Amino acid sequence: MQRRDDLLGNGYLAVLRTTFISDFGYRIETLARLARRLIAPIASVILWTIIYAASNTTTINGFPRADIFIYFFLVSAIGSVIPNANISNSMQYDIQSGNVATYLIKPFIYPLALIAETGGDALYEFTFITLPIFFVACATVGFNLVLLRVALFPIEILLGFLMTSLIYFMIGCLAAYVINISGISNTLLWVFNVLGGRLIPLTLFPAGIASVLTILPFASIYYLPVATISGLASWSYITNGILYMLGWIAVFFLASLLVWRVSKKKILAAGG
Amino acid sequence: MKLIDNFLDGLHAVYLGQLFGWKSFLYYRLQFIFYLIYAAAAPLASFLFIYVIYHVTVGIPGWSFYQLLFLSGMVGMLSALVPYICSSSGMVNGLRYGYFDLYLTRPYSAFTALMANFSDTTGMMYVVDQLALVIYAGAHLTVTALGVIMTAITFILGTILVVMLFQIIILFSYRVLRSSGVVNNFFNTLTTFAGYPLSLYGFTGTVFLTLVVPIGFATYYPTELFSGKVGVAAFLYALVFSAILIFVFYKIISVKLRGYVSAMG
Repeated sequence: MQRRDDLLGNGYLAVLRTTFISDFGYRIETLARLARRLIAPIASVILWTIIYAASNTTTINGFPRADIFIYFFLVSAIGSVIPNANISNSMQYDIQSGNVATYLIKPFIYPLALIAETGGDALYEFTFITLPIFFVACATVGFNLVLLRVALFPIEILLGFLMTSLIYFMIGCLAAYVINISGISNTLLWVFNVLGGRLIPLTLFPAGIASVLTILPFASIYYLPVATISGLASWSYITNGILYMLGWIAVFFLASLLVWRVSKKKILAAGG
Repeated sequence: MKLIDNFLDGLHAVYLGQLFGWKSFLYYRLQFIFYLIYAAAAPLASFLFIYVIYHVTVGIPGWSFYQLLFLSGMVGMLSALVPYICSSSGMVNGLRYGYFDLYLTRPYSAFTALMANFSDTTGMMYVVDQLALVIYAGAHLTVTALGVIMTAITFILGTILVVMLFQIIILFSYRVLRSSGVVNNFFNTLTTFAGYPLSLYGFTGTVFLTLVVPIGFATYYPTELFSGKVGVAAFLYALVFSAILIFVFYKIISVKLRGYVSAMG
């Protein structure tokens, strides 16, 4: 009965809560991360402000100069939650050290326990980094908040979290074969940064590339949530974006099941 | 004479420390090759980022595509070199768990011990790929032999300065927090700003990123020297300021190391 309760979710909630609470132990680090995420976008804002001024225009590829500030601050804010690279880091550690064996004998489904564990971190980051930056950005710029867009913002972040968790889970499974996956994980982070809109808003890409990027899973990581809440995206773009994201989640979920089923057989209880 | 002997002993110690890291890393040859491939993602991302800027806009006034690419490569090299020479987590763990005691019994300075024993070898893969970006961008710029020499010297001095600053911040962080958690946040913020020409930040920003946190010596000024925006006079100023700052930072590190408490803490 206990096992059934755990499988239904009590155990995972406990894991999530434990991670969330244990993150409180690193308050100074949290403050340092908050400071970095508040200060670093200033560089991008200055860069683009000067580029707009040099180009003598208020709009480039449909992206208004007035939205630069809010865009880069919100991207910085949600960058603390997604992409969820922690999942592959945890898997690498568990597989290298052999800790994975202890997880596999517990009344947990290991992949779900990983999502709960990293979800605790993400919830902590969302509460103490994303929200404060969001409020600072709102207070500084004072952009119009539309209730439905505000409601969609955390939902899109959650979907982005799930999607990147599944991608990084599949990469984590590779640790069963190649042991060290930090290189692949770092590479993917760069791909997300450029193609997901962290460094450049997607609309600033040349038109052909931008339309391809919109369909790919990268777009929904940074660009979609920020464009939704800041009013940059039309309702049809938002609807399509969410549908694409749900489609990618379904694809990555099935792929993850397959990859986990195969790689589980290669995991050694003694580590490697 | 003794001073030169000590210096050479120190260099030898650094060499042996790094050699150990390299031999350990190269033992996993496949991993080495894969790292080289993965590390290419960062310069490729920089290339794409700058390409888009110059494709859809007029770019940054006074800076061409290749000059900005060169600057980006210099920042990338520095970002990889600093943790390669001095890993923040390795250094804090060394101090926290008392490993550092082992090195204090050796016949070279505590500062050399820090340089020799707390490096992250995988960082060199990123340096190699970023260097490729610098060479690619440099090949498209008009440059003199003197310009290349001045660029290399300024970059080396700037890197020494940034490594020393990094060590000071790690020691400060260890002293106050017993953790390296804040160090990488500080360094990442710094390299974000250094990724663009310092002139964008106005006079105050330029002075701050030159004299207070001297990252400009390793990135911005070498790029200006390479592309001929400034000449020999600026190079000489850079030499003098670097020498002064290296002396000041060395003194700060020596004082901070006196606060090291052996056997954990």
